[in-house]
Amino acid sequence: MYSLEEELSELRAAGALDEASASRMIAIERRTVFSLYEELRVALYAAVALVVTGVGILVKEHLDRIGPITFILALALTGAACYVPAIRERARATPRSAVAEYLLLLGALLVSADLGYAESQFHWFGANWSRHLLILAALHAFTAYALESRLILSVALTSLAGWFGIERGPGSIAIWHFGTSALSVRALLCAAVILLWRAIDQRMNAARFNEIFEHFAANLAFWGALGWCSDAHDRVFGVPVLLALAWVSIRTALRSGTEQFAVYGVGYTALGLSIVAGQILQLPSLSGAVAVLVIVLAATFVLRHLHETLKEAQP
Amino acid sequence: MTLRPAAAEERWLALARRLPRTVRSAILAEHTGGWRTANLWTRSAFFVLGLIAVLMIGIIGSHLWRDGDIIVAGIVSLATAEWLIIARRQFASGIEESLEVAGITMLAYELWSRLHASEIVGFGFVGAALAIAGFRLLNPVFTTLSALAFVMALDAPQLGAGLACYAIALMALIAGKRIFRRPSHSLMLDYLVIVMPVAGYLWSASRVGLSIGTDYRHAPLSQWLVPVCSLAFAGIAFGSGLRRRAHAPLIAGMLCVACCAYELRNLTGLSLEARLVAWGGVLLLFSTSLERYLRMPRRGFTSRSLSEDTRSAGILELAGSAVLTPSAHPSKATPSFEGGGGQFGGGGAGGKY
Repeated sequence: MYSLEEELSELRAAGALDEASASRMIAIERRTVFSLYEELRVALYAAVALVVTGVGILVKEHLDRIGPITFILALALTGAACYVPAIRERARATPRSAVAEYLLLLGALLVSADLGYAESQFHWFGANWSRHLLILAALHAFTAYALESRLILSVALTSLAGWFGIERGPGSIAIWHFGTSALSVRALLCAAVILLWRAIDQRMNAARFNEIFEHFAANLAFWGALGWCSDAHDRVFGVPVLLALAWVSIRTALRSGTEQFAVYGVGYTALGLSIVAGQILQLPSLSGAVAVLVIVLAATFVLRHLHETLKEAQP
Repeated sequence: MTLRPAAAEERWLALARRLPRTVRSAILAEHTGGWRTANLWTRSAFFVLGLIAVLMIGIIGSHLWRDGDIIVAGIVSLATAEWLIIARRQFASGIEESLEVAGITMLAYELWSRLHASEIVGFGFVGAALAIAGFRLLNPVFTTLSALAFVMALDAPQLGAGLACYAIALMALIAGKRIFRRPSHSLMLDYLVIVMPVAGYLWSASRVGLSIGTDYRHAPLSQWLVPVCSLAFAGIAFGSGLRRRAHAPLIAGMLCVACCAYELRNLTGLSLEARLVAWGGVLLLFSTSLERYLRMPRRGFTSRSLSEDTRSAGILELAGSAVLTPSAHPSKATPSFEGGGGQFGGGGAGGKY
């Protein structure tokens, strides 16, 4: 264990920290107050993950054996019940508790599973089954705005990405799986739609969800560009798109003071350029290794510079 | 020449991470002796960039010095890391960490291969390299990995290796009671407390096979040692965490309970989906009750957040909820926990599945 009480007292004495903040922080250091907030959030997330996975397996394994109407209704009712604490807290205008937030997430995920199951049973959309993901994206977006939930907005955006046909999971993280041209186009299109949504959000919702849109759009767009970069035929588009995205991302970092965008801009670009250099120069070769080393060193230099700039620029 | 931040400087660096931005910059200039550090995201990016750089140095070395490529790459990486630390005053920045650990590990590997020693000795060499890097850089990840490598070097039977891990965790838990001047020393023990019991469970459970799962209704008494060790450590960790009001033992306790529940998964005879829903429900109920009970602080314990800056955690949370979201056809998709999804078309892409 360690305690930084000594330093906090020094700051308080020097007037660098106001009395209220200093007292609060000293109480934490002395452990007179101890928060289980993070542990509870992890436990709640694990609980939601277990239930949703269980329901997922239930749907998958017993698709034909369960009475569809009963199952759909039961899942819908359970899902709806999970929305209640968040709606009640919203109605009372009290701050959202972690429990209400995670129950809301569970409810949204159950509704997603329910609609997916219903679609698979009744084939409402036929070959265009993925349209149910668009409906889910709209429903979750509505809930996210009505209940001011960042988690539900991320569920909505993931459903939207699903509608665009973007896979999610360990397989898609590997570039060699992600690297089809069509998938890259979809990822970039999805990022563009999210940015459009963000622009509307900025006008209508005082940009309260700005950060979420930007993170989703940045990651999707960069993965799309990386997909192009990893393909010998498409890299002619991939590299300029990657550089343009890097520029936008770094500008966003400098404008908003959010360092993650600098990391996206530099990290993804270094990765993409390294892939291209490695492919063209056949990487285990000396020239390939030198080229990648130069790219990595340049990226390190730029990221360090951005880190220092952002640190100094912070208010 | 300063080899690393003094304890006082390290304490101020640790404090700076917790303070509001307005206070932070003034403190960094005044108390941290010019040492430069990075936040989690930038540090991770630098670490990855550093590892790629080391790999490229290794490839270049293999072209230029056919026999001594690893030695050259190791020395160059190590020298660069030391230059970054001593001349550029980088501390916990990521880049110097990856260069240092990779450099020392490469040299240890080269020494091991030249000695034609056994694989077990090799683990000892790796453990020593990670320990040197960990103590040099005050990095708790490397010291924990070093402890794991040393356990592997013991070449003990799986149950013995598992018990050794629990013993290390227990010693770290006891040592963690002390108040340390350096935050990094405390963190080194915290990481051991969290990681070693999980490693201990994995080792001891792998005797039968992790994926198979033991039927404890018909298992010999000795087999019960595996879940009992996990549960016993969880009890000790929870007790110690609540008494000391420390997070690491509580996290360790939670992980040990999860390990125990996983180990005893076949005890009820229920189907996988029933177990997942039931245990998820129990956990949800327990967390909900605890959260509500502690909304008003009781004996100093609270379920409310005491930190103002939850930005990084928030983004991880968003990623976590995105991972759980079903985004594929239920008849084809695997459960969300397992990730993946079908090769389906999306909007306007037709319905090929």
